[in-house]
Amino acid sequence: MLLDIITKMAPDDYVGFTFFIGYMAMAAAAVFFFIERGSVDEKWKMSLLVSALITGIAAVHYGYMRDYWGVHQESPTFFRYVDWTLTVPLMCVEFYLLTKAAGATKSLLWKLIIASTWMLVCGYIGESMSDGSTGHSVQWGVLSTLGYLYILYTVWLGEVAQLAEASNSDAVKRGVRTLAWFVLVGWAIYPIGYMCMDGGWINSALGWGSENVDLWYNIADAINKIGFGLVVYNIAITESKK
Amino acid sequence: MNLFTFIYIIGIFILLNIFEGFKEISIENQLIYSSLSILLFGIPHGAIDHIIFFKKRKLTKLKFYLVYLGLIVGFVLMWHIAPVLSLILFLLISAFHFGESQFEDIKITKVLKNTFFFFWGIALLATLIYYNINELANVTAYFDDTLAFEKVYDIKKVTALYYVTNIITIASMILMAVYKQIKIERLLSEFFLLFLIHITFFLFPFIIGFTLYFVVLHSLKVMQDEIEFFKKDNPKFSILDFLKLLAPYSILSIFFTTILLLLSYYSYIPYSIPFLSIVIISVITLPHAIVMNIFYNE
Repeated sequence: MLLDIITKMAPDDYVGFTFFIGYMAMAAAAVFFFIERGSVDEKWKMSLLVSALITGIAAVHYGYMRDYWGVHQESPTFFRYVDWTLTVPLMCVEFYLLTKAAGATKSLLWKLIIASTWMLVCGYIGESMSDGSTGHSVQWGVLSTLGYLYILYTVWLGEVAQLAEASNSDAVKRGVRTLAWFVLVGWAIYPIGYMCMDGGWINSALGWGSENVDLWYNIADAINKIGFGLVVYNIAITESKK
Repeated sequence: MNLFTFIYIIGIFILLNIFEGFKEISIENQLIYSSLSILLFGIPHGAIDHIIFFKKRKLTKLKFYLVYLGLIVGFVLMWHIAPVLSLILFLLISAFHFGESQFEDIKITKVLKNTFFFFWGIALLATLIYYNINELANVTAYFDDTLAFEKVYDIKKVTALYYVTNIITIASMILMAVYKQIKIERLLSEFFLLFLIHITFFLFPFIIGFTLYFVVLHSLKVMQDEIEFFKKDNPKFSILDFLKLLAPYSILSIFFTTILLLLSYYSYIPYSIPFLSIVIISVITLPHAIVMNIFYNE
């Protein structure tokens, strides 16, 4: 049992604190979205199921990361990327589901899934298979950023934005725009976190230590995943009441 | 987020990766790439002032060129007589022009609007100087003719200006949203943009930060406004038409600017390249800001 191994949690262990909070918040959100499927129209059930899956998968990984942190006081890249590789493409699926009624095609769905997977795989190679050279992290960082920029463009100015604009529903228009803000502001933390690895240029510029990265990731994950789901929930409830 | 903010974000990511890879870029390389970007995008955005002016106002060509060139010559003379005062005037004109191009579409009274343009622009320039004051002080101290500018970059004044103008700018935007002069989403977008500008000016060297803002958020935006303006007369007006229109004037301007800088480089003109660059940019900016004020107001 975990408590047999962890002898003490320091009150100023903010990373550990956010791992515990993140785990419980994600689990609670997953249960909430799953139960609330019953309150919305048939066509929105899939969106809420995806939201429940995103937070549910994250809760499981946060459980692992919390325990690992408790025992070793460090957080391996491995768990983060396994979590993101599953949940981020699912967030892209949400964009497809929301704009489906306005004419979103399967091709849009696949483009978003491929771009998000590309972003994460390149990020993982850059972060975990580093030979210690800056060239390696920059090269894979640039490739990963291309995926992020593609998604950012699609949801703000490209196909998703145009489909949402063409939609008859104000809730969908507003909701997609809010989700686009999540991608712009919330997701930007991840590439910035990537540049805050040990010896990273931003760390040097801001005088940060790499331990801050986990704290930021935990806060960002909770806001992005639960917030993302709540926006989808709001659209589903609003549309179902019509 | 509009297209220019998106391009700005791409610019930030590219620069972040470049700095991640090279850690720092020599001042020579910074100057080369920034000058090229400013020449290629900055000069063209003001190269067709005369065409825009004649579409807005009825004035004989002779009178227009006399006034336009008169302003340039007058400002050059002012630089010769009172460089510090000229620099302050240039910064104020630029501040207003930057603010105006960013918020030309807001619907508030003219006095409030003009005051807000000033504050937004001064906040922008004060932020740029505040985060890079040591770098600026080094460059200023390096050349005899820029030494006097140290008075303008006084740390106490700049710090005060940075806080006061940023607070007033943010408060004004909030008030505009409260009184429904701008939408909440616009407010968020402007806050986000201001945040990006702060991050850029803080993280990158002075010249790189300014070039990124000037090229993407200012010059490209103004050029798009100009294209939209020509499209009103001719819906088929394309980007290619626009490029054809501004190409000859841009090439002429770039040619003469390069000649002047080369004359300074080979010491035929008794002014340093940084001093001469500021003078050239300022004397172009003065009439351009006036024409653009007419453009946005009418």
